[in-house]
Amino acid sequence: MNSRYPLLSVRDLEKTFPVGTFLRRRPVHAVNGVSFAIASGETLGLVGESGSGKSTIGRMILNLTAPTGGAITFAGADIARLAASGEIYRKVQIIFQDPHSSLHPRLTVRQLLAEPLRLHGGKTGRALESAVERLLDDVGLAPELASRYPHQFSGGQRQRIGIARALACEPELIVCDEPVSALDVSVQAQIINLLKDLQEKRGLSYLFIAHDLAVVRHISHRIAVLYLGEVVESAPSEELFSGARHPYSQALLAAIPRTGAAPGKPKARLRGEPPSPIARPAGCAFRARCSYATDLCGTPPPLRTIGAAHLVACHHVETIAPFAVDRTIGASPRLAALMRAFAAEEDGAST
Amino acid sequence: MTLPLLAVDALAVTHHGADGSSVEIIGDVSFSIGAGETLGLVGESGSGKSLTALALMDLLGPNLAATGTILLRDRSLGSLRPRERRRLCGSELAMVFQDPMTALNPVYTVGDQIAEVLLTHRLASRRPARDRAVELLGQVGIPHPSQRVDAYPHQLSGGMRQRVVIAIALAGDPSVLIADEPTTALDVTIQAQILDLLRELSAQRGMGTMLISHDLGAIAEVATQVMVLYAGRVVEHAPVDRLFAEAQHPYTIGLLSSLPKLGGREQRLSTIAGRVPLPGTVRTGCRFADRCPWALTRCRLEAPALTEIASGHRVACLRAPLLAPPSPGMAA
Amino acid sequence: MTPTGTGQSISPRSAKRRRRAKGGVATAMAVAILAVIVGVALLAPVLAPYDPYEVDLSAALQPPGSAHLLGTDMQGRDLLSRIMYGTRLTLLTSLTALVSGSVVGALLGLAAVFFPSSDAVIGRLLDILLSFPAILFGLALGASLGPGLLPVTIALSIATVPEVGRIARAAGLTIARQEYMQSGRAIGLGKTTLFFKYLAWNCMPTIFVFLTLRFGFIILLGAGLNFLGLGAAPPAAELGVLAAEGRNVLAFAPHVATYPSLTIFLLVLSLNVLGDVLRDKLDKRLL
Repeated sequence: MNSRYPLLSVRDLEKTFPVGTFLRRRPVHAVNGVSFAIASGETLGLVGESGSGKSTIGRMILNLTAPTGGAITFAGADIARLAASGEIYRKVQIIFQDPHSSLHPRLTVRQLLAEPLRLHGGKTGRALESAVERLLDDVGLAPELASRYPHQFSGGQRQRIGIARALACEPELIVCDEPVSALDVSVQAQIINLLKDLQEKRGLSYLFIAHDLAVVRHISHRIAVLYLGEVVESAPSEELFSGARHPYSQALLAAIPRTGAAPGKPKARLRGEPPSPIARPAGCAFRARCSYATDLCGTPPPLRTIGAAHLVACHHVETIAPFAVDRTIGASPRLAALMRAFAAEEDGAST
Repeated sequence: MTLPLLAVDALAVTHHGADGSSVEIIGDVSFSIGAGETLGLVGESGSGKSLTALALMDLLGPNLAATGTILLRDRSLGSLRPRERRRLCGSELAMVFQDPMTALNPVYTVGDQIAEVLLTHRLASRRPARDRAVELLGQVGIPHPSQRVDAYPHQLSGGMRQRVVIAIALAGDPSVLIADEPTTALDVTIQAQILDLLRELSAQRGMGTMLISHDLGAIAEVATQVMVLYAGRVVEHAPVDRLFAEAQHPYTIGLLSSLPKLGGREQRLSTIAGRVPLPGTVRTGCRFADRCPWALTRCRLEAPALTEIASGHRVACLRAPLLAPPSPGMAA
Repeated sequence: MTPTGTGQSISPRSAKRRRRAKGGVATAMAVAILAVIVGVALLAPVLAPYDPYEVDLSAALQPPGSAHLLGTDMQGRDLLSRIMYGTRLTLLTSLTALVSGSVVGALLGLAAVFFPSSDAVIGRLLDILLSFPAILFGLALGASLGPGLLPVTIALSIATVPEVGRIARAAGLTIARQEYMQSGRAIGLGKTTLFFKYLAWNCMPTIFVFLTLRFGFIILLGAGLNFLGLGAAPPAAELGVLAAEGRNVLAFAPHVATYPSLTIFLLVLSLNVLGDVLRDKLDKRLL
């Protein structure tokens, strides 16, 4: 791979949908001028609420949805061209949110995994069979399970099958579209650990799309915060959690329900709801909900660099104090010791 | 101390199969909720937390039967005739469901749906019902309630719809509100708003609330006491501060440690190996024994009873209280 | 443990079990009747006691008896044999029409889903087909091609297309929303694979249940067209034709019309019962 290029580069990406009646049809921006890059082996977290366009961006990277503007390049090559030749699917893969609907229900696990192996690896017969077994092993499933159907698995196991299917194409980048939001807490942890292990072993890059900031922080090197189809802040994840500058990022961080925080304590809450992209305000899209908003916010704020890799799109960034997540954990030293012991014991059992 | 609003004793739900078999899905669930209190019910899928709510609301499906005592204020729900009980559920005891998209009838305005509750329970006649609906919509924080009262569900956002669902639940002026995963389908910032609303309503109206969630964070924000369910059994029950500071059951500890932390970055998340056992598969001993790092031989033979280890803190674990890390060499 | 504590004492179990048992008996009967009818129709050349076209005017209009189990018709032909052959012909035409019509209908309906740009055109086409009564088609075809089994089969086939097309389109829209369609696309599968293996295969259960329910209607419609004289002409043995022949002698030899009609009735009824059972089994897939 050419090292002059980042692995994935997205520039001024736009997606518009036509809305309205036949005579008064006008475009609505679901994604509006989004730019970011992902380096090899890096994880970029993409955070936003519904309507922020985060899933649309993920699908455009695989050309499942065609962009209406901007450019996506993979290792310097245009995505649309890679898609036309089918090459894209060998380089970029996707893991979906819903483990119940993302697997063809009438194919066995073996068939599900054989499809991409045959298509991209040209494998047949014995080689195919052993490749299927190796994939299952990689995602922590017993090879004996290959002849079962998806409905015979739990949600977490199904998500593992989905990951195995993506891995079968031997991609360099995987778009993870809310891969753990439908799973139970303890299962979430298993899937996230798996994704991290795979990244280490195979040097994968991830675009990790999610609404759960705690999960995103755990897996991402950098995080980009989306609001109504625009990046409002982007920073290394440690920096975002210790010094978020955009009022919306700050509100998102403040809204995370916390274990150990004193209950009943009044908190600053974001009022109102995100406007729909159809009724997007001119200028800064966030200004209707923002306590710092002034007349200046009627013009769109540019994305400005305020730190090494820290970008913020806000006119008032200088006057806004950085927001840090309160790090105190309520657990007593005794509980903390028990939690460490539990983790150590489980680790010992799994290795 | 006054009488609790809702007191449940030894609640069990049993599935009776067509072949005459019967399997107990949840068992021995006991708790009480006082005025202004919120009980958080935590558990993963298969823990029986939603079934507990359905059993209270008398909404169990066919083949399922509940036993045990349910006291709502001073009335035993079990002794009521089905018709009386139906009337009580929806007024005195109300429920908010997970998905605000499907919980509302798409062809009626939100005002009509609130008024319907009022009329059904004879709490108002037609004209005052509308005024009351406007008032309720205002109470749940819907802006411009006198206009929104004529809106159809599809004209509202997800968060607003969940507020409407809560308003409908409040229409009967319930003494206890059961909320089953009320924020799961909502965005993060909206989740926080709804949780705040539930907390305020509970405090203002002196209402008891039961909040069911898989999200420990949401529970920590709203609940005053927390009950952890595992495979149909209560494994731990404690005041909220105590649970998050001094959890004692290995399952609770495992659940807490599998949460990604906001402070401090760890390389790997802790997980709980194995799966929740299916109902009826564990016949002897503790249901968590197979997944528990602290399990002894005794744990597989003897079912632990829920015992009080401190004021209001009950744990179902033979090894409780777990005073120290379990084995030597755990310095990691 | 006694289920009394919470007022759930009315045991829902026995009621449900009774309902299930009743449903089981109806299903078993439907399957048995269908098996007998289809088996007899298939083996008609072996089982039939007489040649269905052998005229014996001396034995005309005999009531059911030992020589002729179901009696004879106006020309002394054995009614049982004629019904056996008639069922064969009826099943053959209906099945041909059903299969050909549903293949076309399903392909159209699924294509409308798979190629969204074609949705409007296909949708209108199906609407137009739906607004023509099948009987009218039969009449028109009969008039232009002359009476016979072919125009009836074509008319029945065309009558099947729009209904199946709409069911397939509705089922396809549900399947198309599933993430595994996207997943297949993301793997890089070809359009043919996506269409047949992903979309069509997953719509099959819904379409199949609908066809089972529809089969009875098609048989009835075919028998009706034949009854009206648009299809198979006498002396051909076909259930609708047989019923039509019996109509003239209904007053003094009711058996001639009754037995063919009864066969149609049993056939359609058991097919509908079976269709209902299948639908209940798969009803979460139906819209």
